[in-house]
Amino acid sequence: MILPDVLEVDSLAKRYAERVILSDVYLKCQTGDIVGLFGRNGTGKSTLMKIVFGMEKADNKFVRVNDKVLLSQSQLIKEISYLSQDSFLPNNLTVLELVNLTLNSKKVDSFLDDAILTPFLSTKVNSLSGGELRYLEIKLLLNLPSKFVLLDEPFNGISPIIVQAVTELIRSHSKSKGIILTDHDYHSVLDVANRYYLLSDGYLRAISGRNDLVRLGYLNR
Amino acid sequence: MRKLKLFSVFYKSTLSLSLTFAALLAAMGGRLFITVFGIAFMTGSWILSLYYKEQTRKNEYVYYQNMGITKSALVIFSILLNVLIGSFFILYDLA
Repeated sequence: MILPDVLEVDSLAKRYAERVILSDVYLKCQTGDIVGLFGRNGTGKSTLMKIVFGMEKADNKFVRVNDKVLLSQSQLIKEISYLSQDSFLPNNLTVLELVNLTLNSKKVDSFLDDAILTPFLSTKVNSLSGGELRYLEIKLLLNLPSKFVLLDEPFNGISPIIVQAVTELIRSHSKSKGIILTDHDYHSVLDVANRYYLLSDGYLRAISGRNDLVRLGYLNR
Repeated sequence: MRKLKLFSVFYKSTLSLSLTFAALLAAMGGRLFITVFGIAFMTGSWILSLYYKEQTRKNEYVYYQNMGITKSALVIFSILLNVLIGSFFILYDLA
């Protein structure tokens, strides 16, 4: 039996001036997990992801993968991939050039065997629509060798067909990866995730699903 | 090899502004065209191009971080290459 890889974020604290954003946060994710992170605007979900990826400093944090503490960003980015809210791909390349640059050559053919991407292989990244670009970003990240993927608003601004395709991508890659995602499209997050957390007032708490989101005030009913 | 390609793609994305800036200054340098070009390329060019990147396409650093390359590594690589190329122009003009 193969043991799963485990990502643990422990004792994470972050404040801006006097405002506490994140307080003593503990989060665990292992390969096979799809962790849905809920929280209202400004509660610190994106900040949490940026800190775990090493892009933003925390007042205190421990990030461990398989019990090894990762201190520098160069250590973190070997194990963790991150989808930022804003698009991040170099926009002067075509889709085909970008895929060849990003992925191992053995993965390229199967990656490109995709009805959504095929019409755009010779299109420059900056000419893709928002939905096509988001899909490309998510699919590329899920095909990188990192064990964990953080997805910040993967469903934002994409059509229902692409939402469905992204959901399938996330499910299929969760067999070999641990995935943490956050999005205001809570239906899609509830649908795809198998564990849930709610971030409010700086505290992250594990919840069981929709009923807890209502009970804790994230949803009205 | 892939990492080298990634550094090269990043560097190319800063190059047009670097070259334009150095060429504009060099055009004012008269007979010292090549030396001024080299000095500008070694100094102001990379400052300007990396500042421009920071202001307009800052999020592209996330791509390189996902590929295992930190922002500081990209910045240091770009500065060193500009200094190397600029030095070559200066030495060529002196020779």
